[in-house]
Amino acid sequence: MAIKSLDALKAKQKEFKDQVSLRNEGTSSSDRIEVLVGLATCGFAVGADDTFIALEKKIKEDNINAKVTPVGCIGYCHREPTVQVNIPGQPPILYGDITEDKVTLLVDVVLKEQKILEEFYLEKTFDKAVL
Amino acid sequence: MDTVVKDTLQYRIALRNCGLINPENIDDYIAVKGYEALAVTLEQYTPKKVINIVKESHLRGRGGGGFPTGIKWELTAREQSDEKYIICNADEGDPGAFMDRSILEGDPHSVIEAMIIAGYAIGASKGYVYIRAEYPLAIDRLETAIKQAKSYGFLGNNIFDSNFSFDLELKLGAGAFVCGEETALINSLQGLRGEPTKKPPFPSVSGFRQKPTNVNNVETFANIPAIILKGSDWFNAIGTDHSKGTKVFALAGKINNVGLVEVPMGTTLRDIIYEIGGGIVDDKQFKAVQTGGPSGGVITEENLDTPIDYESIRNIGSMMGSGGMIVLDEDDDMVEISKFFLDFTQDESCGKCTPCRIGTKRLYEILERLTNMEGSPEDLDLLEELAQNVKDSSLCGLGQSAPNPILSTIDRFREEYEAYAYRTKRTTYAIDDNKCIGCTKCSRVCPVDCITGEVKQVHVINEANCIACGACYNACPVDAIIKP
Repeated sequence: MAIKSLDALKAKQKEFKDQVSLRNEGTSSSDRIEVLVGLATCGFAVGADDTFIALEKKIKEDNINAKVTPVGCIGYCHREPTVQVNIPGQPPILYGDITEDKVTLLVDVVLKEQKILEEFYLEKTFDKAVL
Repeated sequence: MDTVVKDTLQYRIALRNCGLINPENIDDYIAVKGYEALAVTLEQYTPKKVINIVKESHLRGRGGGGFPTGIKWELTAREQSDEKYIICNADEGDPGAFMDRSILEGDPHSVIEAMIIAGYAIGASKGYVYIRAEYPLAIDRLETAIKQAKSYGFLGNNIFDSNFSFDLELKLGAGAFVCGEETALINSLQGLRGEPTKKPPFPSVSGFRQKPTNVNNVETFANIPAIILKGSDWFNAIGTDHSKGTKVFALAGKINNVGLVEVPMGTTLRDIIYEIGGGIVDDKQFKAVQTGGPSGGVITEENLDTPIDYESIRNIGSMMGSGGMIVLDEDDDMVEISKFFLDFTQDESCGKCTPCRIGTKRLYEILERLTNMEGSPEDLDLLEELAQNVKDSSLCGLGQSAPNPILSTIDRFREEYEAYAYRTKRTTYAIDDNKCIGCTKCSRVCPVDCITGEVKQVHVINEANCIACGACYNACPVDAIIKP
């Protein structure tokens, strides 16, 4: 459906208020967790697509209220596959080296127990322009 | 959140959405104010106003040239013509560089939105993204993004109910390096051989189909929506006196944190390499960083604290280029490095002009002669003279800059060239008599059994048989092995 005015565009933006605040600050009116998986060429090269599939499968099997979203490259090629976990009420956290075999560990510790997985914790080293 | 925070060093404008939105879902882009800059432009700004915002932002071409983007737009806008074109140069080709690919794979809509804005500003109704076929994922995501933008009415007729219409098409290139040069790119786009033509006329006067054409790089476009929404004053507050905003760099080579970084102009190389990049692999000694790809040069330790912008990086003997940064450590041989780049440029030379076609080939042959230990001291003078000639007489940027890796390394590392020219360079490993403790570890790992010696006695490498594999060097517990 075509968007024909600035007002219509802004109305559309509002629909995703929760999604944006969850990704940026970790706040949301819903309690659904979101997991972002870096799926660009650098991620694919080390099997991020397998990580993505395994994450979706595991989350479904364990009946967790979470959504997996493919995103582009966040820039940490040395720690691919990279995954950002956005839990409502907590600051978003980046994890590196999450290959397919680490998915169970990530889901069990980070999504279920809601603890930090120190070994794969990736410090975010950038700030960004917020429009 | 929205200020340049010192302790993070990086500040992302072009990469603001990369890794944070789903590139295949336009709603994810709209959620972060995507297409708002376009809506504001079409509803509130005249084309002249848009050009003024970009001019006042002092944004400069991120493909490496550093030409002011606003002025480029103005030059194309002032031409009278029934049709004009916007082209996005996505023919990224420097070895080890992947800035544009990441932007297109992670945030394709930001580039599309900027191209539509540029079309409105200069009076074009048609745009092309010239992208190399070697980027299949980026192509895929761009195609998806264009389709979605069309379905929302951001591409097509009467965008946001204005009188402005714009359409966008992808054109795939075969991956020739020279096609990153804008006149060669335009030729390739028209189905002609990808060869440059002389300027003037500049594309802003006579470009694609002899019509006024504006060519900008992917990263340049990715900055535009942010500049429109946040204003030129905001952009001017970031960077140095003559280079505003940020630059994306692809860190590669002997560095711990290989990846993409975006830093404000004026950040030092030391901060990029040691703070963001995490230093050199295995804590080895930093030797140089190669910037600007096959057109650039090397920057050594003494200049690591220079704040990086277009001018300063030229003053220290390299160039900004598109943003590739290859970090070299103590083990790297500078003559081999320049041979690598010359091999690349002589292969990628389109062959149209003689200095580049034959000159780069001969330069490569001299380097090959040197590294084969068949060179002579005269070769060094020849190398420098020929390099200067190719630089001075080539038609386009490819040939004019192809000798830079040689000129830069011969200036900083002349002794390495001399070691080859005078044939004093050792090509095999050796053992330091004073350090060897006779532990026998080296002789046990040597794959060609060329190390001999009794236990607790000094060992010796038979240089005639050594294949310079480095196994002994890694095995020695007391650093007694001397590298070639």
